[in-house]
Amino acid sequence: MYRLNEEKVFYDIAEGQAVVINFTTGVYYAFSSLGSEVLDRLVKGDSFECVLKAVQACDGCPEGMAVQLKAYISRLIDAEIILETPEAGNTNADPLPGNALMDGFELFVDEHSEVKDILMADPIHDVDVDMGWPIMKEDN
Amino acid sequence: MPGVSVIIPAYNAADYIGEAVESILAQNYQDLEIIVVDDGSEDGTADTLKRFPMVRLVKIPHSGIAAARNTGISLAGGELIAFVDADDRWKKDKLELQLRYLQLHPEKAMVLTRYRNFTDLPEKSLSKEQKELLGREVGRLMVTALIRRELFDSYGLFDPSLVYSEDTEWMIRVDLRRPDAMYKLDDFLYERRIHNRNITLTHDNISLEMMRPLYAKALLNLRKEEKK
Repeated sequence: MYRLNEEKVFYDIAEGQAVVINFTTGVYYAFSSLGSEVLDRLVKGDSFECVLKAVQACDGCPEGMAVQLKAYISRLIDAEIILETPEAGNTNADPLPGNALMDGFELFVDEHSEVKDILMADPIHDVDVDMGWPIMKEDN
Repeated sequence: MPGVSVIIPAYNAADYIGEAVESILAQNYQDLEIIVVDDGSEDGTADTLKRFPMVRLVKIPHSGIAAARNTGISLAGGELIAFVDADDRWKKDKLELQLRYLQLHPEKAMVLTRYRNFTDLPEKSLSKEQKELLGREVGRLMVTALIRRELFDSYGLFDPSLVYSEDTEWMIRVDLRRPDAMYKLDDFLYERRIHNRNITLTHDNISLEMMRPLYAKALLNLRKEEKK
C-alpha cells in the first residue's frame, strides 16, 4: 500500500479537488478530478487493486486503465508525494463519487513552482517585524 | 455610490459596537457607508444601533464571521472595502491616510495599518495572556486594511468553512497571486480591544503547523475561483 510522505508534503482535498504542497521545495501539485480521488484513496490506505476495481466499475472506463493507474502512481512516488509501504492495504472498493469524473478518466498531476518563494518562506519565523511579510529568499 | 464601504460583522456586540460606529463617523474622510451584519446576536446589538440612522443593518442567522463579512461585501456599493470588528475602533485619520496611499499607488490593491491592543478592563483583573497581548503587535492584521473590491472579485470571498484564520487564508490567496498588492502603513490607526470574550486573540500565536493547512486551503480556493 501507500502513505502520504508527511515529512515533506502537506495534503488537502475539498470538493473533490486535491492539492499537495511540498514545503521543502516550494512546489505544489494540482490534480485532475480522478487523480484527486485516486490520491485520496491511496493515502487512506486503499491498495492498487482496490482503486483499480473502483475506477473500472465506472461506465465508460477506457481499456488500459491498469497501465494508466500504475504510471500515475509512479509519478506520485517520483514526486515524493506518496511512499510505498509493505502493508497489504484495503481491498474494499467503494464506488467513486460523482465528482471524481468531472475531468473524465484523465489521471494527471500538474506541478507548479511559480510561488515557491512564498511557500518556502517560514511565515512564522522569517517575518519582517515591521511589515509582517515573509522575507523572500534572494534569487540566485 | 460611496467611496468606501465599511463592514462591521457583529455577534453579541451590544457592549462595544456603538464605540466602533462612533469611531467611523468621526473619520476625517466621510464619503462612506456603514454596513453592520448582525450574525444572529441575542444581546440587543440591533437595538444599540437605533441611535445611528445612517447605519445599514442586515440580520442573518448565526453563520460565523466569514459569512458575515461576505454578506457585507455582497451588499457594499463602494469600490473600496474596509472592515472593523464590532469591539474595536479606528483612529480618526485612518481612512484618509489609507486612501491617500492608494491614490498615490494605483498598483497597490490593499493597504494595512499598524494596530495597538487596548483594554477597558481594570489592570488587576487582567490575565497573564491578556497582559502579554497588550504590548504585542503581530504582523499583518487583515481587519486594518482598506481593500480594492477587485481583490474579492479575482480571488474570492472569505472561506466560511474556516472557523478562524479565515482572514489569514484570504491574504495568503492574495500573496500567492499578487505578492506586491499589499502595503502596510507605519501608523497606528487601528485599536483592537482586549476583553474577556475575544474569539480570535487566542490564535495570535499561530504556528507553522497551523499555517500549512491555510496555504493548502488558499491554493484550493484559488483553483476553485480560477475555474469559475
